[in-house]
Amino acid sequence: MLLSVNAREAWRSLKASKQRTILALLGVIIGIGSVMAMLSVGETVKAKALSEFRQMGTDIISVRKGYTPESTGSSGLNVDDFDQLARFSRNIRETSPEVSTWGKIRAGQAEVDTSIKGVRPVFLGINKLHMASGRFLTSFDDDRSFCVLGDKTYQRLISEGARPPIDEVTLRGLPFQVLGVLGPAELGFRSEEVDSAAFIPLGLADRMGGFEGASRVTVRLWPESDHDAASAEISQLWNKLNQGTSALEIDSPKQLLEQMAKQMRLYTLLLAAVASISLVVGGVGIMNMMLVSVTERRREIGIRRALGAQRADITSQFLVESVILSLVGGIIGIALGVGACFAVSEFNDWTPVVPMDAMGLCLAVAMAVGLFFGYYPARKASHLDVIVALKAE
Amino acid sequence: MSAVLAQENAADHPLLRLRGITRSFMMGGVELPVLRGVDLDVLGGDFISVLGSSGCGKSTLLNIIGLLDKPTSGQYELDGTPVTELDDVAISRLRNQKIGFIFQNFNLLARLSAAENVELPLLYRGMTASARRERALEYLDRVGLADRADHTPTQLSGGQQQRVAIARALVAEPVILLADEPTGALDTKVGRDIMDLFKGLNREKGLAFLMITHDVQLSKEAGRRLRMADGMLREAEGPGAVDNAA
Repeated sequence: MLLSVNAREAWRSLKASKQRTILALLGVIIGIGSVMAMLSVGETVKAKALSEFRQMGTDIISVRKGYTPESTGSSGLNVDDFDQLARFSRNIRETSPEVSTWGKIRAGQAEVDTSIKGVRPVFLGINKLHMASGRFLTSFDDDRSFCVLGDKTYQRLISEGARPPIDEVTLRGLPFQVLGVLGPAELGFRSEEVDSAAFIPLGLADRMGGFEGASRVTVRLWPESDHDAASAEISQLWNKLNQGTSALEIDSPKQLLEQMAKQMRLYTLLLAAVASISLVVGGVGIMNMMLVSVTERRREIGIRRALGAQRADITSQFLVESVILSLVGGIIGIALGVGACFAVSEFNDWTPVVPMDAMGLCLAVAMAVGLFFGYYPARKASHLDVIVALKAE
Repeated sequence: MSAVLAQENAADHPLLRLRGITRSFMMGGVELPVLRGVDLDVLGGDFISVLGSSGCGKSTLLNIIGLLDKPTSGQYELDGTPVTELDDVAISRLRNQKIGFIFQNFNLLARLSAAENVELPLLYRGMTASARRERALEYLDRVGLADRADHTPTQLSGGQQQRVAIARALVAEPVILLADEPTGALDTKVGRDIMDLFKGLNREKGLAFLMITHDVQLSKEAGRRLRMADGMLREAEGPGAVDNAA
């Protein structure tokens, strides 16, 4: 009851000195703003990454050649080894090895650089790709001069003057019949790599030469397989097959997520440090403003005390004022932080995520700053000598 | 406790009972006695003026009576309660319930409306908003300012402001009203009206008044006239009970 009257009067007195109020609040606004921005941008990035990984498929792990001192000579993974691995593993459902190289692709007069990947038919399904036109490679095409173009490769050829439809291309000097064109890939960070490639049958690539073993093997696990167990089993089997001469690097979405979370934690910690410094500065700003306010209102304090206000009444009056002050700063800060998140999202073409619990946290922190830094001025106000206060101008 | 009831009990105990009140201030390491032993009994319905030149200690006495200051030594009972040993919470509560202050410069809060100013003592009593408002309007009406309830002090004349201050003092239904040069900032005509209002309240409600002033003419308005000099309180000539044991 007294609290609501205090709140109303505090609001009035803050409104009476708007300019000073805003200046005093700058620190809190910046502090809360950066906390809010950091938390909501963090959430946004996390949501974006999660959705990318979900698109990639959570039953997918990606295996690349690891680096060991003995492995310097050979390059790439042995496809046969991998087929053997797939046969023994309880977790692997299917594997899609890729061999790749660089070369020129030519259609009519148009010629562009491209990455040439030798893949198996499962490549399409395992990477959740779709055809924009035509068809993908099948198991009957394994040693034939067939080729499927990535979306960007196709676009670049067209922009270089090739006339659609492109039926034939020359890859590294050899003629290929074009079976179809892929639609844009939705593979997150691998999209670019897939879009700007040309795909030929793995068997053919083997015989063409110039490809250095499998650069990557995408493995699809059985639905009930656990990522960690599958990764462990794959490494173990691999080591047995290769007698430790080469190692594997296994990326699972889960692992990547964990890695990213670790990075985010560091980033969050850094911003939290910045935020807490500006909150302390902001708190001191509030304390300063409240001290000035107490000095200016000594007479009012004296009058209130003469009319029967207890020390606790005066303390709570000024505490309410400083809490309202810091909450106003907090709300402005939250608005700015959310705004910053929207701006960053707009810029990066993300979907902004505003975490509600972060908003609550920010309000709580703002309130705590108001209470903590408002206490000393409020206590000072309540301990003024009433007679001296009444005589103050 | 209402003033009327206090008057009925006047035989048992006076409203105010001061015995041997002294007050000294430390000035640069030197003890400066301002009150040198004041004895005073105030009964219900008393209208007392304390006359004295500035610096004679009358304000200090008013502050002690009004529970804003504590005596260096002596005994003070307010409405039967010995107050010298009470803590701040109890003192604040007593001040809120038993004392009404009227200041020379009104001391209204500029940001609040007349009604909100009058509500203040009730606010610190924990009364609900609607009850506060109702009482405040009732007392504003009593001082003839019912139609000015939502004006801020700056929108009111000096006389009106003092009336608001009087309503604020009365709304607490105190046992005594303490006035410090209540007409000092007002012109003669308006000051006259305010004094008539005080006298009416004293006569009709039996409300006790203690007024300090340096104005001899004003002091003559009181039923009982005291004079303060050299930190001592003496009975001045004039009507009223002689009760000063100094």
